[in-house]
Amino acid sequence: MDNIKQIIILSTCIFLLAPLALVIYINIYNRRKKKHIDEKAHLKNVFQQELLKTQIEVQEETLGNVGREIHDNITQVLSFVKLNLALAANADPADQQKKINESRELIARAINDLRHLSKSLNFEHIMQHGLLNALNAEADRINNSGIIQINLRVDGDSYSLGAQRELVFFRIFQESLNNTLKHAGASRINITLQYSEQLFNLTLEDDGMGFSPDEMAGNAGSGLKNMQNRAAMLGAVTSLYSSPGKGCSIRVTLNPNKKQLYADGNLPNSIS
Amino acid sequence: MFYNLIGKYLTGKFIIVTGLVILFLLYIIELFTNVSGIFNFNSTTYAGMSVLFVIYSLYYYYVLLKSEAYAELKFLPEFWWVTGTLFFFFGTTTVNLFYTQLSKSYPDNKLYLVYISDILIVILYGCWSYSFICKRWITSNK
Repeated sequence: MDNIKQIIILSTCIFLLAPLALVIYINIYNRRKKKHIDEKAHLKNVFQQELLKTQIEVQEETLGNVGREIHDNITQVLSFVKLNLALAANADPADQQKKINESRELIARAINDLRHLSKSLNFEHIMQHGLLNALNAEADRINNSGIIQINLRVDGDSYSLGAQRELVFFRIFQESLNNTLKHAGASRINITLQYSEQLFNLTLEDDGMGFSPDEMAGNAGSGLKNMQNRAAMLGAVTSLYSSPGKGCSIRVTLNPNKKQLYADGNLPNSIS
Repeated sequence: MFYNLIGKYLTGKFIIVTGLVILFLLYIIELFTNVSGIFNFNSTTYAGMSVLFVIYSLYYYYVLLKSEAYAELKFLPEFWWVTGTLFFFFGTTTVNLFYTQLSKSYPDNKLYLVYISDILIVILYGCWSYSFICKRWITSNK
């Protein structure tokens, strides 16, 4: 008799406690879900901010380049044309014709340079035509300026990585180029883009003086850290190889099929 | 009700209709196998219904958690409705299991079963009442 009572009480307890445990579990799981959703929203926010910052930096960099180009190249050419034309006024007819022709050629060159500049000034133009074209245009510009020699190599069939990711990659390239021009004293930069189904690699190598990455970690290195952080936001991995006297190589590796929760491949509406 | 609740997250028509068909078949079988026919308490059908409702409740929890959208459970009327149902029908499974045997061999023990049923009813209506209060809060806040 007592046994039966015990069985009844025990089984009742079990049958009451089981749903209770389930409800508690669901509650805990739901809280975790909320936390996860909040974290995702936060990351998305941070990512959008970082992306906006990247866009602004790309624009600033481009504007800086344009400013330098106008000052160092076009203004010089036009000043020379002005001087030429002034001299032509007092010259004999044969000399006059020579100077006018020379001036026409210089003006044509200035127009051509301005046309190139207007393309690089247009931020949307860069992103609409893709990373590869943007890098090509930038490499041409630098090569024409004669500051440094850039070799661009593409392995595999190129494909779009999505506007957001391409923008970040372009910014990484700009940052790396800046570092090379400012600190490396290099004469050549090799850029390699490797496209495969599972992997995308952007490698930037220079033949500059190089540095010790361990020393760099403690010092400034904020540009490098920036690059690494931005690449990490896309799910990409940045590897840096350098040693004194042996140049520097930066490789950014991305699995194009890996989608970050917060990066949908489109640009935010803020600037673009 | 379950059709509406599960239908919020996915098409639950097939699951609900299958459950109803099983219940109907159980009822028909029990109706013709019982001596008293329609006047007898169809305990097998009731047990089947309890199991089915428990499964539906658990399935609702599953789709609720699987859903990407977050819902504050404390104020979610559907959650409390299902919780009441789950407690009641899960609990009554015990009562169903023991009822026939205990009432025959030890008639005094029926009292315990009545207590259990009372507790379950209080939980059921407590949850349902709170569910309607939550619904009222939600609709009045709109």
